[in-house]
Amino acid sequence: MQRLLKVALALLIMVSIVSPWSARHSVAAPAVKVTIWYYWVQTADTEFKALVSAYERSHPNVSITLVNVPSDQMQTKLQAAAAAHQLPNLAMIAAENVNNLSQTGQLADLLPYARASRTSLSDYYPETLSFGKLHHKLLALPVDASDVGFFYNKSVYKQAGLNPNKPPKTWAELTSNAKKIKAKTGVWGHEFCIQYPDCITYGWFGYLYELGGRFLNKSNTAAAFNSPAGRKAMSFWVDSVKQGISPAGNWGEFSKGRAGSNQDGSFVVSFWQGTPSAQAPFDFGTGKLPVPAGGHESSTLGVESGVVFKGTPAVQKAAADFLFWFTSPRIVADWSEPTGFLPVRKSTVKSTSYNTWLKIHMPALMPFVKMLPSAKPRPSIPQWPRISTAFGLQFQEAVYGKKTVQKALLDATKQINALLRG
Amino acid sequence: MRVQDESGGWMSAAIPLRTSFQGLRRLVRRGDERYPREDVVAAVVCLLPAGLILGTFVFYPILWSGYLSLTSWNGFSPTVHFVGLANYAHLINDAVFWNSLSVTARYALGVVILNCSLGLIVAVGLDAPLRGRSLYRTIYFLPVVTSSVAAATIWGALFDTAGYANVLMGQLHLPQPDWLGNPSLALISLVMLTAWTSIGLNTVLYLTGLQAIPVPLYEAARLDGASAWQQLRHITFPLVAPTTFLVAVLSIINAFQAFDIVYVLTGGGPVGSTDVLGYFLYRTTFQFSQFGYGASIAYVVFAIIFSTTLIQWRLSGSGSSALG
Repeated sequence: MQRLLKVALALLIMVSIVSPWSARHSVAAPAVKVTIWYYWVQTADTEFKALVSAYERSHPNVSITLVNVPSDQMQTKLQAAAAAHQLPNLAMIAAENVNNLSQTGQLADLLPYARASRTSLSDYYPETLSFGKLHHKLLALPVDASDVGFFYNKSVYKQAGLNPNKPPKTWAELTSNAKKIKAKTGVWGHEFCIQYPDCITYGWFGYLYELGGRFLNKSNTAAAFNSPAGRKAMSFWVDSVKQGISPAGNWGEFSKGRAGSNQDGSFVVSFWQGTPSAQAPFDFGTGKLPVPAGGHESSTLGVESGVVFKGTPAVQKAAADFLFWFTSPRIVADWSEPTGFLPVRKSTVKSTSYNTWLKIHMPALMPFVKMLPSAKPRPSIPQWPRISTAFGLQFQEAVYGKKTVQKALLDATKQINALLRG
Repeated sequence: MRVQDESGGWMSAAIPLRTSFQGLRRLVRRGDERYPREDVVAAVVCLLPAGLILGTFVFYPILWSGYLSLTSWNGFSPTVHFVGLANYAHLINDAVFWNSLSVTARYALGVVILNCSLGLIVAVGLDAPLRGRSLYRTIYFLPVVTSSVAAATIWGALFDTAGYANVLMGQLHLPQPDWLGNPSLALISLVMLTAWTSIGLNTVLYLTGLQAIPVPLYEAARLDGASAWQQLRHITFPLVAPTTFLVAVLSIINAFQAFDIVYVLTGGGPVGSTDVLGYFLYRTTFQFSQFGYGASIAYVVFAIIFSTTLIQWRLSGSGSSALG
């Protein structure tokens, strides 16, 4: 009996040793591990995690680790990681940072993967791709976009005797409406973002482009905004402040219900309509950016991109495969609809399902989607943050009456040309 | 705590610690005999953890940023270019730096004036035999323990064009300005916020100074018929001068390090009117990715703070009465 017990105990021990081992080896472990850094929060964070899970289910050989980095720390963390050779395999970043990041020499060229996956790059909006086209390579792929459009407060429009379903289509209408609003309601007619230099360039570029102006020359080696188009676009903002229909102070009067209209990014639509905790403070409408006489439709384009860092061939390929999957037309729709980001693929925008969704769930986004083909980005050059600040400060000087528009443009040109010369 | 000695026996941890300090003392004494080897070992062992921590997180970054200030590096490129003193030369010719220095100096002046005056006024009030004095002291100290970002957010609502400050101004039939959007008022608004956040600490410092003044001095003055103002002017002010010196030095140092409230409330604007050195440094380094130039700004800020303190130290008779 005692011997039997000993045999049973020995068997039990063997089983207990072997069974975990066999259990471990009965399920195939993921062959490739990919780490992704991103900064999306709230709805976008939830949706991104869901899409990553879906990708892992359809690609059992790939395991993805997500690291959410606060957006204002992403650049610093990437710099530190590059210096310490601890970069992730893939990062989702603001497209303006691609050029700077390319200087690490650690960005993988995505063109071979595009060819291998037979992805048609012509289906992406060309301006969204422009950020990644560097050194005859494709160093980033756009994952979503935004552009600047017109927002207005329908209640204020009604109070001012204006049609709440008819946003202004021209600069003249915008000024006329703003004057009526100021006179009849006492709130500001229209708000421009003047508080922060970068906010100025983001909002103002559309006005410059509408007049056919350029900020820098084609080779990005000299300032080009001191032109009739630049003078007219800057004067439009400055004159609105001088006439007392636009505030010159802190940004945010419109969102507090103290201005009839403003211009802002398309992400505000999804923020106000798609985020339960951030409902719109009033009934708002949207429209395309009003166009000047003799001008044409345009807007400022913002893009978020995915970049793949160099690594082992297997990991680099897995990261690139995920990125192309994430920007495939169907997934672009899955990503754009709940988040309110603008699609980067033409075929997604043309699809019946996306347009149906847009009409039913987020009609306020429609003008922004329509402006997407004509929207243009700010220059993607390493000096951009300094250039944007230098220009914004001169712009503020003109708005606050410390300089004329001509002098501000001239001084900004001198400073920016010096920055471009290095 | 007990540790094992050379013979394998146990002794108090205080003994090797004491031995190490004795060893160190001998090290610095000129002409001493050779110190025992075990003393040196004990001293090194005891100092090593602190030395490693300080070396890694204090001395190495200081030296590294000093080296960075002599380079041109954007934080992305693997190559760092040595440029000698070019960053410092550029700083001298940088109009934005001079504006920033001027803004910081004006900000520091405003903060010093408000900190010293408000701190003393509140301290004099709280030094009087009031009912609920402890409660008042706690209330005045609360802003000191409030996060500066939280304080800035609250004051942002206060300074809003339709905020409480303007509601009050409206009720008093006074103009309702754009506190943070007006280039003439934005810096003054920041000075008020800074004074509010530090009033508790300054009050405590002044209270300590006031309570050190001998009461018979006031009694003698009253017997001589001195008014309250005369007592304040001829007894209190001169005798709290060392505290005033201390408050002024601390205020200047804090003013030259200001960053968070500017970041939250104004972003250095409008038109660079609140672009203090701390924010200029942050923007240059982390937004413009000019790490070398940013490091040179940091060293210049350090030099300014250090020399200001030295000058004040000299002017106040080595500051011994204030700190010692």
